[in-house]
Amino acid sequence: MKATSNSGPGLYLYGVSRSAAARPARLRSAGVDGVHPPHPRACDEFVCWVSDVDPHGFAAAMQRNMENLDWLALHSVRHQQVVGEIAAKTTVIPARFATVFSGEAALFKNVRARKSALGKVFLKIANAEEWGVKVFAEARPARAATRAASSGKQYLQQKAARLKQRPGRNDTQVAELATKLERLAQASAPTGKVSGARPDLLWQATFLLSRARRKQWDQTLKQFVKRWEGARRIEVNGPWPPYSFVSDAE
Amino acid sequence: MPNNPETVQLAGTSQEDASLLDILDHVLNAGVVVQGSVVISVAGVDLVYVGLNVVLTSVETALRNLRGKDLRPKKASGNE
Repeated sequence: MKATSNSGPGLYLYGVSRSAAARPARLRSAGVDGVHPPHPRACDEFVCWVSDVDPHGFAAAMQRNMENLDWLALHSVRHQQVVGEIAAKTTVIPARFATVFSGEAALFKNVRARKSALGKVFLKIANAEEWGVKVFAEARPARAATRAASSGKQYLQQKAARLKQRPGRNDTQVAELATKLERLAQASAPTGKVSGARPDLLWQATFLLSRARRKQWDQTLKQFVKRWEGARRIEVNGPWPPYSFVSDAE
Repeated sequence: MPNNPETVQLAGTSQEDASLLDILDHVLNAGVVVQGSVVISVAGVDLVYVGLNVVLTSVETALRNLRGKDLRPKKASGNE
């Protein structure tokens, strides 16, 4: 990487935590660019978790590759490794993926300007984790072998019949699960930009759940797993840092 | 909190690819938009509405590349 004449490295921001919390330690994760290690920088009562990035190399690559899933996957995983490691130590407000500042001055100015919003978000996410829940339709019982359609019309009729057999998206049982989970959680948010296109997916959402509610949460999910055996499948993923619940800090 | 959330299969068959998709779902779901004087924040752009096949193919490739590999690159620039 070439050093640039007048400007230092850019700073990639992973998240912001509070300095009152546990003393920041060294992180083991590789930085988002795989080269520069993440580290804490104190800014008033906050700690900004950053790593250096080459503004003319990495940051430009970032812009170019925002729709390149290979690139995105690798760097999202690195981002998550860092944020996850911080979240294991202390409450952290994750920054949006791919946020780069021109330098410390710009970063600190920004953080100071949103001080009160950050404070509110820290209250909201304290002792809570993010969880994803998805409900899939189970494979249908083998239907009578479809005869090859002899006409376009017949083909469409067969297709319509198949679609009809799918559990609907207005499934009341799914709605019941959604309601129960929403009652347990502090907040919920839509999710699934990436995975949402799977055809057997009936419903999915992301929740902010207090750690204290974890037991009830698990019990509720297990009840539905039992009840739905053979009809619907539930997938739960987490715990995540609260990526989906910090937009108030904007 | 574990560093690497897992997809918990409560029932049914496991789908190995799920975890990377989940990472993308969550990591890209938002996070604070910070507009430094700066930035190259790209976020806000809704990415992946490219159609299922494209996504799954890319994710598979990405998984192949990632699986079993230390994410730390050899050295060199992580620019690409």
